[in-house]
Amino acid sequence: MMDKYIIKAGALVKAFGDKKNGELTYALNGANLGVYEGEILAIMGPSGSGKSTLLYALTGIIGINSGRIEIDGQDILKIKDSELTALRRTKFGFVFQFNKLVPELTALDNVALPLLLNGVKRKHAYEEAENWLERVGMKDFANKSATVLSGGQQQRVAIARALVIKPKIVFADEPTGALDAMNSENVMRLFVTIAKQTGTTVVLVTHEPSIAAYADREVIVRDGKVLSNV
Amino acid sequence: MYSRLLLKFIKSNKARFSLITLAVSVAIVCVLLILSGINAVLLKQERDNWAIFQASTLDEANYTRLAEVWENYDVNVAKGTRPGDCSVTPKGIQVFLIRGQGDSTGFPWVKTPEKGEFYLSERLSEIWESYKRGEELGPRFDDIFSRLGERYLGVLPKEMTPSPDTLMVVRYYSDEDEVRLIKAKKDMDAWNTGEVDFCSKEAHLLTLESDPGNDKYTNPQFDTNLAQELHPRMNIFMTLFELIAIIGLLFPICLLISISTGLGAKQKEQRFAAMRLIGATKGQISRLMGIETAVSTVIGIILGYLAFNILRTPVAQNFTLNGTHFYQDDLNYSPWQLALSIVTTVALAIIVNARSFSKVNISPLGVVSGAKVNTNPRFLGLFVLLAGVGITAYLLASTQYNTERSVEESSATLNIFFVGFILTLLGLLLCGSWVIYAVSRRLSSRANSALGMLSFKRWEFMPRVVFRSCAGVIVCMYIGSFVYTLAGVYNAFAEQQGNLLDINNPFKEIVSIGTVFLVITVIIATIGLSVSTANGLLERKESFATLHLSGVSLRQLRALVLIESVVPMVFSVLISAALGYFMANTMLIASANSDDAMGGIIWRLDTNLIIATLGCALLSALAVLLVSVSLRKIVDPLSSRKE
Ligand SMILES: Nc1ncnc2c1ncn2[C@@H]1O[C@H](COP(=O)(O)OP(=O)(O)OP(=O)(O)O)[C@@H](O)[C@H]1O
Ligand SMILES: [Mg+2]
Repeated sequence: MMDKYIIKAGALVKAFGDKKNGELTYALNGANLGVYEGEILAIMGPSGSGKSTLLYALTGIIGINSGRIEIDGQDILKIKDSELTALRRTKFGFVFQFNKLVPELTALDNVALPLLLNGVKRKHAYEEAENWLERVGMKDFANKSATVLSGGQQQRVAIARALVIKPKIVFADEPTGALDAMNSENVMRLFVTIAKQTGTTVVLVTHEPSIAAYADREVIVRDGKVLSNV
Repeated sequence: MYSRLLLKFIKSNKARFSLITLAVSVAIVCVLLILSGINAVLLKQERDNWAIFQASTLDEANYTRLAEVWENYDVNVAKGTRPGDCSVTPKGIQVFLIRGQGDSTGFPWVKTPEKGEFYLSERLSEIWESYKRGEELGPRFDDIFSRLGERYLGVLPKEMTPSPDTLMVVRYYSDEDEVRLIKAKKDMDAWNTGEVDFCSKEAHLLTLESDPGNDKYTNPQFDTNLAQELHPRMNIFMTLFELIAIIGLLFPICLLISISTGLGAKQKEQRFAAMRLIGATKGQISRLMGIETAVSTVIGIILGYLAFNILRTPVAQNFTLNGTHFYQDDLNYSPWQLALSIVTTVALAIIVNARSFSKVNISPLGVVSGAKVNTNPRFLGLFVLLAGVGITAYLLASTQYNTERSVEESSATLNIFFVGFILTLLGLLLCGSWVIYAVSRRLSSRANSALGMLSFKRWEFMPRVVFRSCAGVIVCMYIGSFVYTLAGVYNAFAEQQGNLLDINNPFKEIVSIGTVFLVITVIIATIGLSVSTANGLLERKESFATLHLSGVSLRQLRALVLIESVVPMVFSVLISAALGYFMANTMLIASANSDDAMGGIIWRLDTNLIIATLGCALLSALAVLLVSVSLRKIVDPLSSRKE
């Protein structure tokens, strides 16, 4: 199982420029990374080392200055913007600390949304969303507005939302960053269990060793380079 | 570019400040313009009435007013029109013939003209000068200058000339005049009895009381009060004007203030929350915000006052009533009115500010905008709307277009109609958010597409915010559509009659003044819409970023924003335009009477109305579209996480 790369990225360079004094910050400076299909990979490293930048670069959310990125056999730097959007809609799931739920929607609506976006019929989408809420233990809160949920509850819903489309890869940037230790343990356990059950690849950025412990493998990012790509 | 700047602006602290300043100064300008406009109209009417005044105070007065022709205006073509209909030709030269003794009590310093003496209005004296210099003025003047007299007494005082454009002669009523007038009267009698096909120009321009059998023509009655000569609907229009002016202008301005005070609540969240945490009281923070509003209101008042004084000259030069301009000095306000408008504006700003601020709950946990605490809007306003529409519908169903109706009966119906008219407007404003809430609730539980669901949920979740951005346009379109429809009917009627007295059509001016007001209010409403859309984008940054991540393309997001803001706006425009149209036609049908027939033209779609409706809808769509350009920046995960 763990021998086929689903993500291959090489020699990634991303510089943020200060237009005024022309100084460049290299957030990525020749980073190489391979992710195996079905694995849970933790990306660790000190603050400001380029972890988030790496994650965004991999998904095509931000452009890079040079390098290659291949996901599931597709060179995502060459494909059109609309294809990238479609890729995100059908194959990727995201759990970010800052990407909260859509506040106007209920928990259930939030989970059903990605399915509706993929053109799934309303009835079916809501049934599926309910199943997923049940799996993350949020069934009782299905019709609550997203705004009244606690941080941990919101994150569970976000996980259900990321997984509901049965993505190939879930990208997570400090998914439990806002939660206390116990809550983040619970959420992570749930997340990892479901990912394992469904065979989903997870790329997880964190600087909590206790969170990274749930991963199959760890890499360290320092000064824009991936250090231990074991 | 525009939308980037707008977003940047809204994020900065300057936004609230400058938008309130803008709203207040526009309010001051508008209120002062309305007040001074009303003053100018009243003064103009007063000056127009002088002749009656003058004559009634002379001993043994013999006077008449004879309007002569200006600019080749051939009334003889107006076959089939009663002569009385064309008695007032404001663009003509008015000649007052006076024979009497003593001084007028009204203008004792103006010598009563004796044999061979005459006065000219200022504008006419200029024309006379160029005529004397031998410039070819042709038959336009109908030889009027040859009949002036021998002794020029000078320029008439301003108080006697309604407008700087007035062409007026005041001269002695000579025996030759008497001969001409008697002939004219005979001509007209012949025309009236059908002996001749058309009467002489002179007769046509005189309103002579038919006095069969009396050859001696001594004291022709002439009603010189222009205001009373106007169409009876004019009074209704004056009332409506005040309505447009007051509700139509101040309402969007209040909305803009209210939208502005709500701006940046999220941006201030941290700052205020931090202050609360370190022990600042709620009152202290309110005061802090209040000071900001107070300062911007004061600056707004000063700017508005200056702007009015700058605008006064172009307004006086460009606006006309009955085809003639105002004196610039007449376009003025009394100190009382100035004080009143400042007090009103300040009071409005304070009330609106306090209202929107009372909904913001400043706790150490951050500012929670009231709109987010989801209290469902009440549907009581619906009853008001139903009552208003019900009254009007009842009038429409129970009455018929009937020109036999007496004037009394018709004005009784009109009173009922106005109750319906006002109730409908109030109802529209009171039940708007409930309607948005109820409809979107129904729809969102059925939506099959993600975008549909998102917009319906947004409306259901924040009906007040959505409605607030449309309310201004609702008021303008409702009144605008009403005015345009009525004016359109009047114009069509005049055309149908072959009435050439276009220059005397007050509806032309009503339409142009009304259009200026509509444009101002729609622009204010559009500013409000762009600002609230942009603010909405900022507040929902995270949602949009999430949606974008979940695979919603930028184009779809843009469509979402557009649908969310433009659909309610377009509906508001259409519904209020349709209601205004319905109101206008109901009024035409229910109030038609023997005096006010309008030739049975009803349910006519006026071009102005169609243009205004489409323009309004397009403008709002454009405003939102421009704002939505910045979505790319909004959904950028790099910028959203830096917040
Ligand atoms: N939009 C940006 N503009 C300029 N510099 C940026 C931008 N985004 C990131 N950087 C810089 O790039 C470097 C890497 O940032 P990145 O966010 O990837 O770090 P990180 O490893 O995720 O840190 P943390 O653990 O604190 O989240 C930092 O020096 C940061 O200042
Ligand atoms: Mg990071």
